[in-house]
Amino acid sequence: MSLKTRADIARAARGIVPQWPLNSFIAVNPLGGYESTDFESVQVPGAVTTRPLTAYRADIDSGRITPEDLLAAVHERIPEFRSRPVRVGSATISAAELLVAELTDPTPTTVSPTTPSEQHDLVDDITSKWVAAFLDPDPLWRIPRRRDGFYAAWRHLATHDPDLPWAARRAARRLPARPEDAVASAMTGLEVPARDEDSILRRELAGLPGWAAHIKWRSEHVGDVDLVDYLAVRLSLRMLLAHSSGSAALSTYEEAATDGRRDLWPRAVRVAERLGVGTDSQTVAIIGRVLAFHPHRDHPYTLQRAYEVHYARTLVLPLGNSEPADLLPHLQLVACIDPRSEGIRRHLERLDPRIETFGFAGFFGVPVRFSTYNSPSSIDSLPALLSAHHHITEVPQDAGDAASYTKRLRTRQAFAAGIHTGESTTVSPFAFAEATGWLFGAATALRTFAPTTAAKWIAALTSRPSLESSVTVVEAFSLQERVRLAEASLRMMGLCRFAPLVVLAGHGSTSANNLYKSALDCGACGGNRGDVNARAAATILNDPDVRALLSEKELNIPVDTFFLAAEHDTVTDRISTFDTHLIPETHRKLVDDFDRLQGAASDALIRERAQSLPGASPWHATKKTRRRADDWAEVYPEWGLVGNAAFIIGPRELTRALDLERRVFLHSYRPELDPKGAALETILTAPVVVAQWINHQYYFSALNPETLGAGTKTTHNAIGTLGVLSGQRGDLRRGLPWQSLGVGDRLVHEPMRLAVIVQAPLNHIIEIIGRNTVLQNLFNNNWISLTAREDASSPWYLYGRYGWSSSHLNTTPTSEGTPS
Amino acid sequence: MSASASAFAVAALVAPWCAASFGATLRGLRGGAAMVAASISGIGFIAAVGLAIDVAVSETQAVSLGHGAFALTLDALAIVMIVMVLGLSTVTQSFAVRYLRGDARQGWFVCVANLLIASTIVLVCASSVVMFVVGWLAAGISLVLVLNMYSHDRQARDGVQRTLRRFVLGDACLLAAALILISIGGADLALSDVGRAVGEVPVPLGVVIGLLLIVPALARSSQIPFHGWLPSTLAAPTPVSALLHAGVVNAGAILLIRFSPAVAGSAVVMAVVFAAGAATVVYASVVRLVKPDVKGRLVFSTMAQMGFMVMACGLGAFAAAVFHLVAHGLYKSALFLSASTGVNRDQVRRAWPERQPVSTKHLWIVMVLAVFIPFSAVVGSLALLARDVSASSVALLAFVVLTGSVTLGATLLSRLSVATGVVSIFGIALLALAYTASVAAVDNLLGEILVTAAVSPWWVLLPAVLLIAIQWVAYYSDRRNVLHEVLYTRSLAAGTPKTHSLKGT
Amino acid sequence: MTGLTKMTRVEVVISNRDAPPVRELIVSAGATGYTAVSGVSGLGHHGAHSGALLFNEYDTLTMLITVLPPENAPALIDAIRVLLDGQSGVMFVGETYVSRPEYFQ
Repeated sequence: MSLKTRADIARAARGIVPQWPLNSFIAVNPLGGYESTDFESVQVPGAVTTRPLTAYRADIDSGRITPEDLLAAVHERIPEFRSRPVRVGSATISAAELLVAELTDPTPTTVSPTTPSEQHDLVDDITSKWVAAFLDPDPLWRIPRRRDGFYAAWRHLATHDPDLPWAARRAARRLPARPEDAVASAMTGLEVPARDEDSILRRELAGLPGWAAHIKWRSEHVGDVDLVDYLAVRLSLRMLLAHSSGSAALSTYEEAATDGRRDLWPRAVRVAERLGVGTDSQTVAIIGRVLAFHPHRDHPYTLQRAYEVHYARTLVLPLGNSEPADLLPHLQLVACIDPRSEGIRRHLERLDPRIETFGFAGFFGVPVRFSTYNSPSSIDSLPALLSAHHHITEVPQDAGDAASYTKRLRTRQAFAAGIHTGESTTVSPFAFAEATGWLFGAATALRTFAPTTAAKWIAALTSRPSLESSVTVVEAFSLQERVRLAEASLRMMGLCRFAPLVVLAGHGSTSANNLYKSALDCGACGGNRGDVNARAAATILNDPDVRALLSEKELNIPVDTFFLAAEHDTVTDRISTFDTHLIPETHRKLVDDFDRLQGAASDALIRERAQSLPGASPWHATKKTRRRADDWAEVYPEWGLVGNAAFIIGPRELTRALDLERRVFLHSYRPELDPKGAALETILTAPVVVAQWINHQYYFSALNPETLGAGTKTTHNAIGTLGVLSGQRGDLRRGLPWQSLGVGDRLVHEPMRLAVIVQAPLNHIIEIIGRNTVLQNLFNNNWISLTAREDASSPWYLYGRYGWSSSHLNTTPTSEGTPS
Repeated sequence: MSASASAFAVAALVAPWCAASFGATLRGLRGGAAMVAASISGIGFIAAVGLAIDVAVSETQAVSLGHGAFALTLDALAIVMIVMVLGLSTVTQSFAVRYLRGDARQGWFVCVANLLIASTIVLVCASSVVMFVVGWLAAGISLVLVLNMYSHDRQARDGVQRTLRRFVLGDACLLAAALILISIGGADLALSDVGRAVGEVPVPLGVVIGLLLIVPALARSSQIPFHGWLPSTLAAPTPVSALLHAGVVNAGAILLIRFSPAVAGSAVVMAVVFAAGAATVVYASVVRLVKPDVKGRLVFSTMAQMGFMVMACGLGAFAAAVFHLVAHGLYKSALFLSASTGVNRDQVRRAWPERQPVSTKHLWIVMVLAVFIPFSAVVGSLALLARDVSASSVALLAFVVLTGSVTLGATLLSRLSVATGVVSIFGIALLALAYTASVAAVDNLLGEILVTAAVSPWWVLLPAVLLIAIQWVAYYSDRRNVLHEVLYTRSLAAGTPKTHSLKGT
Repeated sequence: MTGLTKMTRVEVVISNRDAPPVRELIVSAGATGYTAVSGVSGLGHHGAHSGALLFNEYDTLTMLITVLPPENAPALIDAIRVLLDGQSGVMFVGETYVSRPEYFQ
């Protein structure tokens, strides 16, 4: 019986997407649990999946959505309307145009979005209090009986909880010992009929969605708490409170169904008036019959699609179809697929045409767990789709350096321990504040008025001293593994000819006083900076043993090619290089040249970015924008991935010389190097999936800043590094803060579902989708879209549930049907 | 009194009003208005520093402005407070220029925060009862307004209501006391005449006036039994909290000092002040231990710190209280403004090597040093510097010794090396010296405050011992003990503000 | 098959994304262990399935195999049926024989 309760809970929790803690922020699709159903069928209490109709209406007025976009969207959604003529009055127009006429109607519609009623629940208050106390990662007073588990600890302590009425406290003594029994007994106690149990479980899980999502993550990654514990506490509380107040059993909630038919006639009249075709009943009836295919509830989806089509058109039309330049590059740079890399790649190429750049997932194909030298803690620097199998660390070049490095860290650790203890015991904070307040006051003034100077001092006092070292990939990966990873990476990014210097540039984001720092770091590195993976990949690719085996697979890396690890800081836009002590003398000059070049590119990019950053002024733009990295008052260190909307898979010739405004994920790919499509399968199932998580995180946080987004940063209140509350209590916040999405009441991010654009053999793509459920879910259910062409000279096709169809993106319309 | 001093004083007094009105008129260009207001505030701060230097150099007692009912007296305490409040306000506003960028309520913040600062300055400069009451009420109202910044938020509205209820009660008591005093004097009377007026009435009435006066002080400083509002103010943005915790909640001590003739003459009143402070120190310290959220810990820390300040007032150690409130203001504003550094800090700590095990010898050395060094540093500094520090201030030095021991012990336990030893021992000696010197200086600065009925300094032992006992319980949290569990559960419930209690329904 | 003890073998093929609750149920059912084969491929109700993906373990299929005494099996089987209700994934149940039954109890 108890096992069945666990299964019931696991089933009810299937829709919950785990939420990672803040220090390894992983972007997730908060509605990922619904990906196996159609995007348009998703209905979640308290959340919307499209923007309000008024927003689309404003876009139509401003030209952001044009009638052609609407027509394309209608064609896509109702293909049979493409060429169906409708005779209204004396005119003949296509059915699609009829629908567009209604969508462009400037009068406001009567449909209002449903807002969730803000019902207060005492059980939420009490549960969140206990969950936070139990999960506090750094408690000053650990919760008693923590080792017994959440439910067991709570059951003991609840008998003393003054938030419960006396009768409830007494009754708490009789609660079952095991959480699954507690769930079952609460169901009985609340007189829940068996058929309603599932909906009750779902409702309880939806009560504090943030905590539930975090507990789900924790049960899978830490294991000290699970949703059975959590629901046992919630349901027991509900039963205790209900019994002590003598109230009746729980009721399940019902949702009112909306009727779409009722308003058809007035809609048709309205369209007839707009078209000026007369409102005689026959015309109205004809129009009504067409409109019936496009009920009111579909309108936002059509408008959203038109909004996306508009962008896709401006993106795809200029895409190039030139041949690769014959000129051998003297420098190659591989950057992350992250849209922010597009900016630095573009500026580097503009400054020096003989640079070739590539896009590849920022972990460079080397998934690792990493510990800095001599440290017991580690980070998982890999995509969330993988688990860590290889643990690497650093070996210092010089033993003397290593010893002094450790000594310095120990000293800092000791002072930090002293300060922490002085602040946190019960007796010491009073005199501590008196003695150190003056220093704190000086620091406050310095950090506010001279953030850069303050940051230098703080860095000198706290951050880790530099240490010449190398990463231990040879110990962690066998030669075969290293060769396999190297080959896969080179084939995936289509890197087959090599310049003397190849820079592998990961990325990271520097900001101060920022709880969402990790969200700005590399998503492919699990919300960490990309330096470690770049160093590991460079070490592998510089390894003569690896190169020897690669040459057997027709991947010849010349002896005079050197791979250099680097990192692009997305706030300062500087590219810093790592392991410079490993650079051979022959390559020093090349590296110096690169350094000069990146300096110029970085300045150009930062001036470009400063134009859109809130509060940036054109005076001293470079200096002031870089200052944001150190400024503790800054809530907009950078725009992150705002505006992300598309993912292009193909050679750089497609996009070179285009300004994509840092909105597009770029993955390099050359079908010639990938005859069987294996690399393409990896690209579609890994980088595209990670990008889709990010894209949907932005999408839903932008649409629902208060429920699926984290709200404003200004009232954020952190619980260690596990999450934030807004204000003093309540649910753990999910998603991105408003400062990642907009300014004031203006949304800056344009919420669009990711448009995946591929240049590759269409039959490969179809086969790959056919054997990967995750891709079927995403593409068939319209969570993201897929547009592809065979090669540079072929037309674009749009993927749909029933195969390829000619895309509206082709300048010259092509015939319909599946390509041979 | 020099002309320059008056000029400086006027500039400092006028600056926040100007800033507030700029904030109000330029509301359209939010960021720009905020920048202008912060700059004006900065000018005010510079003027205040100029005033302080001028007064110190010319050895003036006080600067007087205005006449009759509108008289303001800028004595040493007032100048210290003006410098601190304007400094904090400048820094916080500059911080908020960036932090609240784009926020729809940024204009509101600029306007109301400056009103709050302006009225706080009126209250510290007031030389008559009426003026003080006006300043006090204005500060209370602007505080409530600034807390109402995110009035669309349910938590914020809830916080405003709780605050308002306690402030109304406190301010009613203040009004009552003021009315009694005025009716005794027949007209508005100068704060310096309050002692004479209280001396003229029968003792029981004097006690009543004293008790009425401490209610607003306790309410504004979030002391038991009026402590329920401060924890529910976190729905306001961080700069509001920084301003509130650093520069506003400590107004209670200012009231007690300004009305000290009516308060410090009665043993009952002083006992109540001490008891409220001591109870709050213990209560808030316990609750802070169970709070998981950063800002929640800061709130209860403030409450405890204010308890410490009020307790010092009860001991008659007003100089120590003033010293504490200034230092704590700087400390707490820094902590609030940096409340989002958790992830940054975590990243720094990831590089740290494993802690080394502590040997018995190591432990003994550390224990001896941790006991001996802070104690001798404090005793040495006392002998060296401060013959004229009052007995009750000396009692509070016990906390300095304890803090020194705890900090030194934790540092050396983590690593015992020449570097950590020398730096921390010198640091502690230096701090002890500076601390004693500063308290002595503040003692001089405040001048004579007649205290006739202070609580005996020995009573400090009571909260100190309780605090140590609680730390002990919390440290051994793995023990299964009912008392421990009850204390934990009660503290957790006390630390979580509830929207409504079930018991009431 | 003399000297061997009859046991029940339960195999579940499920997306790795959905596997944690199955593993948890197996452990809660008192099984002493399980075998996980990740990246299994094949053809099923939803068409063909890729085997191991290079950089995505999360969306591949995994097969969890556990063996437990016949008297403990029905509870686990019922629970997994509840869990699989309404999602992709299959369960096979069969008899099996083990030489060292104490390993599985």
